[in-house]
Amino acid sequence: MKRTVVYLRIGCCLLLLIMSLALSGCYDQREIDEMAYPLAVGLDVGRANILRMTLQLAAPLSIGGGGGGESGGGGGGAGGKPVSVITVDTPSIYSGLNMVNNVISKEINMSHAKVIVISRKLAEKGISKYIQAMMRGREFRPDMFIVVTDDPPDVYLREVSSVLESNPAKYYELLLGKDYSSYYPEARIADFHHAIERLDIEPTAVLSGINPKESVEEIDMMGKTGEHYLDEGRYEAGNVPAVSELKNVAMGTAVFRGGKMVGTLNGIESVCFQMVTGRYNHSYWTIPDITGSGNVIVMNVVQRKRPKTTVEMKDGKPYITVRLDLEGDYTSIQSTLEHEKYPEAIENKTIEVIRENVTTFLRRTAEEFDSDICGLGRFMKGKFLTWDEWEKFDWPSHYRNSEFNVEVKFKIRRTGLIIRLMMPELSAAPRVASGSVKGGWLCRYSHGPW
Amino acid sequence: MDKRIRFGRWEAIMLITNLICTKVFLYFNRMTAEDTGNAGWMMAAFTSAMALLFYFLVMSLYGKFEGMDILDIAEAGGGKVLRTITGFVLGGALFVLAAITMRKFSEDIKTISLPTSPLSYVMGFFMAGVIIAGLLGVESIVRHNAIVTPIATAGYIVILLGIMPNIDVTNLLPILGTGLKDILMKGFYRTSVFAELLVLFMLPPFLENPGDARKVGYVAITASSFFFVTGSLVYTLVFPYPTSMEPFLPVFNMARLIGLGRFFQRIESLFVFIWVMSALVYLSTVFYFGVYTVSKAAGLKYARPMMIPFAIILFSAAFLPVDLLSVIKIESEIINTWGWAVTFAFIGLVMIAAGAGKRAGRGTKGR
Repeated sequence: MKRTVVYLRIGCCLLLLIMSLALSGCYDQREIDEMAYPLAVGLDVGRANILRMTLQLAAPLSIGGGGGGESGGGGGGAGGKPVSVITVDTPSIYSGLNMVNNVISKEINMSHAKVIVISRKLAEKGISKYIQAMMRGREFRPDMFIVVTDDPPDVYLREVSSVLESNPAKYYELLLGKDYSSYYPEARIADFHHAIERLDIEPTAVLSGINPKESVEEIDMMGKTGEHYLDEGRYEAGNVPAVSELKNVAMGTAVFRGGKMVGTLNGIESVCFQMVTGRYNHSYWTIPDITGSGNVIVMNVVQRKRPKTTVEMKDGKPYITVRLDLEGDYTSIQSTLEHEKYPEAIENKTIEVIRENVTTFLRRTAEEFDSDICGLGRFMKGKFLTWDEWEKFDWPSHYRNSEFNVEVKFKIRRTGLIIRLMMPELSAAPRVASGSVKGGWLCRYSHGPW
Repeated sequence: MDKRIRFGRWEAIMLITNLICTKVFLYFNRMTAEDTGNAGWMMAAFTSAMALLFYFLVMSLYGKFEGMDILDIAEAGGGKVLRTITGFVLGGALFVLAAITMRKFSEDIKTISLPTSPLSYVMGFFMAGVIIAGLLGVESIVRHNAIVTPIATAGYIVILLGIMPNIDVTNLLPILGTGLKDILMKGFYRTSVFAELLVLFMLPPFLENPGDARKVGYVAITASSFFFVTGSLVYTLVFPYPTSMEPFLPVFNMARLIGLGRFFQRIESLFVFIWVMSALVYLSTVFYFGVYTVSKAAGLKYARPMMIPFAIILFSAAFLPVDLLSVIKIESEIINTWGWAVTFAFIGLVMIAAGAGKRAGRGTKGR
């Protein structure tokens, strides 16, 4: 009996040894330095074949210099470009990987790919077949960002340079996953895939492009707007008045219906999109001053609560009510009026501006794009008991006839680090005498008690 | 048979719960979506209620045979013939479960972790574990289970909590999914997901207090129901219907979506760990009890010498389905559709027969 136990123990130890060697060193062993890791995948309409695929490959030795990102650290950096770009024309994504494996010395591994960049041309033709291929592959991550660009992805991926971040993977995560810019949505490939298959929501992607401007003269040539300001959210990627070493700009949203792109939203519409979906975090809103002096008030607007949405069918038309609950802090008041003390007029103006923007945005999605990107159909589903009834109702065919009612609740909460400004000449606007404006705003020199 | 081995109620509960719940890692959530759309969680709740009812009915027949396993009961009622038939039916059922599950586990491992390794190579590791567990005996299996099941449960709960930021409550609508008829009809035959309960009917002789068998069953069914319902509910909240019918390994796909900041990503590695632990224990248990049941039915004194021959047969049987889709089909259309017939109907009939036999005065002969 004792001998049996000893044999059993020796057997177990041997088995453990064999298993540890066999599992780590046989068929599936992979050396990390024998792999090439694409960080971005570009897809475009091919010329020599159906698809033009571009891979932006990480060059780990160049990345190693700093950043402390996912693949950063160690090495000290060998200088040179942190990425290398390769383009092939191919019948499909996986055939393209085969072709790339014939060009480079290392085996391609997609498990660190952060972003998929799709050309507008291909997006308009339809990308469902490529998205499902990536969702099926075990190496592609479901949290990859999805970006649409007007520029060919091979050009785009060569122009993308992460000047402030030595690790390009971290650069993509910070740029496309950040919550402090609301001018483009966070679009992940898994959500995109789900939205393609659903009846109650349509997919979206980040709109990005190369900013071709090399000098401020090129900005000058964009033309002036006179004394009136042009809201920064009115731009789309590619036409932003900026000159920078960083060439790529993310600004706006690509709108899809099914797997095909049907239009774009600019920055401010993307903000509205996120407000309606409840994914809005915060952004600065520029509101014209109520005096009509050309001055503006800038506020940091945040979403206090998730929006409440209801959908009612009346006479065969969906009546959609969206209730937004927002709050804001003053960040700049250019006029001499004491808006800090009497915020009601600015609150009302802000409500008006936001309501107008959101309503216009929603109407565009229905009338122009015929695409329920906000997923308002999700609030209609609850009126049906079974899936068959819901399918027969055919929400997408009703959405284009929708009527929208946007209700905005907005309250200014804070004034920044200054509660009252004592500068005599902030603007050319005429000083307003105490109590002379409707609502009883006071001039900055009133020294009135709070 | 060595009946001096004893274990307590906790070990037995962990054993049965792990046996029933392993399918949550594999396919259960997708299966509920295929059956009833986004109302899968309702079907899971209905199935659990039905399983409790069936178990209650079977256990109401068990009262006269407290402390006996199902083979002893069969022998008490119908002599050696009924014992042999019962043993071969139950042993065969466990053997089919082991073969199909081993193939499925190996295919899953090959798909997500070892894609270039041959299937036989992957299966070889499971086989090694199953054989060692079989040779070490039921006590090792049960005690190992008592350690593994709480760890696997904790890992599973971490995954469910981690995925919370991705949930969308409107995914539950329309509330009845593909309809009430599907929930009730398919929910009825999906009580087959509790098929592994038949191991419970082999346990009483091993229990410290044989009277605990009844409680073990109730607790294990309730705990499993909790995991079935929450698993299906969270899955539906994360994967909208009809996309929810797509994932090959629902919990793995769910774990892949977890990303809490830039530091907590790729949680699926945790899934692979808990899943393989759970799978190995499942296979060891089902295989051991399969061999034990057949050996006892055949009147053999020791089951241990049968372990390696049966393991070789198991290994070969696992290769019978031609491909992964055949395995999924067998799992969905045979095991999870007709499993209830063995676990509840057959065992119920054996108990009725044994009761009748006992009343006729022939019952205690076999004891």
